[in-house]
Amino acid sequence: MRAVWALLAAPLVGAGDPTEASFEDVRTAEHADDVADYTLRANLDPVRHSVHGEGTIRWRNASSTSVRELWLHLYLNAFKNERSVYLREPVGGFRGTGTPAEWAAIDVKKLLLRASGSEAAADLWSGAELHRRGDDDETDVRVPLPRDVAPGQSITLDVEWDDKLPTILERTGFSGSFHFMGQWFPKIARLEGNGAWAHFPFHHLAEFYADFGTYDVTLDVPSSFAIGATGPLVESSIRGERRVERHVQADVHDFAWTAWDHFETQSEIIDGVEVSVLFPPGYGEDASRELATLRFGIPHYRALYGPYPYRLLTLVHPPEGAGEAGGMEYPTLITTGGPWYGPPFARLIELVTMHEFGHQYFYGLVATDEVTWPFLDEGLNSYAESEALGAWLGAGSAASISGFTLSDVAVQGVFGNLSEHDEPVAQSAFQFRTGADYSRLVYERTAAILETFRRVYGERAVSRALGSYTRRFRFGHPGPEDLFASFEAELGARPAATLRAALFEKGWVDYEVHGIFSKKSEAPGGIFDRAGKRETLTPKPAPEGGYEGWVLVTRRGTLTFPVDVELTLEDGTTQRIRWNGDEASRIPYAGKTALSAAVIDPDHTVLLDDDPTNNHAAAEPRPHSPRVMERVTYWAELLLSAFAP
Amino acid sequence: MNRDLVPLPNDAMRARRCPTMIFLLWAWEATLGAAVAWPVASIVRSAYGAHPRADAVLWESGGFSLLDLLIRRLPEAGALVAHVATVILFAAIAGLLPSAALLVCLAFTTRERRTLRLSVAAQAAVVAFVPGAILLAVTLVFQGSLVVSAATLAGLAREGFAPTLGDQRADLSGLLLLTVGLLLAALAGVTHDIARAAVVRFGAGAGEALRLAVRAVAPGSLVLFWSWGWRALASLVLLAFGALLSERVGGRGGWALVTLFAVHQIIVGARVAFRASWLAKAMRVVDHAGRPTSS
Repeated sequence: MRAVWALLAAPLVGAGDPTEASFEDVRTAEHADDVADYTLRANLDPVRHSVHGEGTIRWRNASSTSVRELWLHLYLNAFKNERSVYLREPVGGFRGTGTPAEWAAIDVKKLLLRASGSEAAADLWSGAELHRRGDDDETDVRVPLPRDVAPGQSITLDVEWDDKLPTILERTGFSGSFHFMGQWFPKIARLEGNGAWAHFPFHHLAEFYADFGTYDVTLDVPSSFAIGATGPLVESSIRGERRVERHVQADVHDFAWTAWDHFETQSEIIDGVEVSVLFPPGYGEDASRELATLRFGIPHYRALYGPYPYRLLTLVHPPEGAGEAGGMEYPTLITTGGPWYGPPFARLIELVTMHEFGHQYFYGLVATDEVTWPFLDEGLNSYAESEALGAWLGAGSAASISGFTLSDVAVQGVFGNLSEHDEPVAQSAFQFRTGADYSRLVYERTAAILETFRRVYGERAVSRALGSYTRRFRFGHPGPEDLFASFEAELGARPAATLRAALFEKGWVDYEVHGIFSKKSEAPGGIFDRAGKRETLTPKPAPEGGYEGWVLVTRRGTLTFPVDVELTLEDGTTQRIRWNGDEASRIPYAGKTALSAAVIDPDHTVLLDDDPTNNHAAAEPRPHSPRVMERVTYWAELLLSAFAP
Repeated sequence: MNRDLVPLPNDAMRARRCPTMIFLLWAWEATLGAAVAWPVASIVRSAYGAHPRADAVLWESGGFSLLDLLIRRLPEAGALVAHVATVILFAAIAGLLPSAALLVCLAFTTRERRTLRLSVAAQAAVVAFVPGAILLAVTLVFQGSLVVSAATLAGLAREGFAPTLGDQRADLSGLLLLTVGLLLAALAGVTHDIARAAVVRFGAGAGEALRLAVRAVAPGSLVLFWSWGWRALASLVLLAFGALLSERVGGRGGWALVTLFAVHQIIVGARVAFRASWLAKAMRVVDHAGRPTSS
């Protein structure tokens, strides 16, 4: 029996640098399948806070069936009135709450199907179904087509529209002369391979999903304004009092831009990528911290998840009044945030920057359906963020002050546990009951699940699983099954099943030390019939001396992970034993001194543990908390001296 | 006034005359501090008393156990805050007595020129309690009004200047206004201390003491303010040292913890001594100004 325990006493965390994992066997696409190309021109009026847009959309039916309709997303209409799906959903507890001080709208003026061969041009907008019957939401528009579009066939649409921007809400709008344009143009929903449209109204907690294509966008703003946009600048001119810039980017599925007359800039080439930070006056220190983050982040993500394939990356740090524009991702353009006086001991700026950069992979390049499976972008990306920050900043990756360190991983583990029994992680964004559940489960719980896997099954195995997934499905729109397949290939069927249970079935686990016991080893007493004789023996100390006992450990819940159990002996020494995490186990003990205490998972490998405060037991619990008593008494004395006369 | 109390000469009003009172004031603060800390330590003990590293786990790198405990016990935070508020209220009101006793010790001696007995100082402190409480209430309301007004103005300035000056300059403008408000509140505190000295030294009522204090402060307010200020700055230096040492010790126990405890309590004691030194100065100012003759 003891030999079995000794065999199990192996290190839990696999050794090795995760960035050294090899991916030579995984094919990574060079380019996306071009499905929706947008050639647009936009004119910003910063006084009326409006954008006039026009251009063409070339769309190809990349599915296996003919289609007779298009679905257009007009997401700016989410802020048109209080009957939009976005403003009706009472989720709260996340970003973008409240109503805009100025309402917004996107009014399509023209949607024309160009003539093709013998087919005449057709006005599509007059037949468009702007909203469903009995529903005032105008963010998800059905556009019937006059003829079938066969698989592989392309159509070209001429489009013209006007945007009225909201005061900054949910990532887009204006604050003073600062303007950020996200979801600002009529955008075709993604047609899945089976011919089903993945179209959604703009839900409060949901993000986006679209096909890849090339965006060729010409932006026209006052000459005093600086522009940040998706894709590199290929043409620029000053025409009278206007600045005109043309940005072109292939292999992306969205285009966002910003314009402001107060931007300052810092630029640097990092790992071959032209990185620019646009920031308000006085935020230079923040911009430097953001660049420092990317100096670590870009090569780290290249090693783990594949090369960043674009020439440039633009960071936009919005001014304080436009904070709602911050913390968001678009292809080759991300927004960060935080005050100019952000204290260096709190790593919020680094955290937001790393998180948004990670979205270039977990949203941008793999392009999962953010509405249906938000954990595939926000969750995996939150794991990537905490892994990268931990590799860069160590234990104080979230904060470090006065002898205390707080890691991003700890934050995700603790907050993720708060909603573990409420709802499954893997569900559509609009199915979450509250914003708090969405945040804790999609972001934090998913990250904690993957971090637990990293700690339990080894860094290299999890890096291989995720790295293979991001490479194999680059530009590929994968789903949850693709992720599970990747984990099964690298970690095996049982861990993959555990991952599925954790994500889809509200999987949970709680380890507990139920008790410990030890006593001096004794020769057994009692009545014994030996060799035809009956003798009664009294217990007496075993001739070899020593102690014997046990530790009773249990596991509740639906998830199973192997963990260490640390035994502390009275002489202060410790022994580690690996427990496979079965429902209950009585771990035997024999040694020279008595058993003093036992701790399950002393290194916090299983961040999903429901209650870490029942993971330990002692023969004689300590009656004091001397360190806490000392510190809190001192702090209280200082506090009281401020109030006392 | 108690006939047993004999006013000290102005230059003899020094904090070093009252080591016992300073010690007792430190003991008072330490007792109240422990009263605040006890329930917090009990919560930690209930969670980690059976852990072989006990409360040292809260200092583990990464902060998992600390954050978990904070979040797990968040529902108890309301009760803890109420407990702390109660202790603060008690300290503010009941603390008038020991601090008045210190002022008595600073201002008076016995006919035999000996240090006052504690019972005599306490008796005089009780007499000064009511005017002291009135002065404290008036000062707190005035200081509160100053700080709230400054914060409101700072917010308005921040809002107003941000579009034209940018966030940084707007924030700094607001901070400047807030700092002015805090400095004025501190000056009000200085005046309050001098008024308390007047209550003890002359047995003045709250109103009379306040008038005397304003007259005493007005001509040399900057010098007086600095006299308070350098002691406050010295206290801050001590605090910084205490924080640095605390960071170095981290979650260690044993002698490191004992040393930290000793240093922290020396710092608290030194702050009490600085405060006594300042109150002695306030007493000399009041004594020098003399009791105004009634009109």
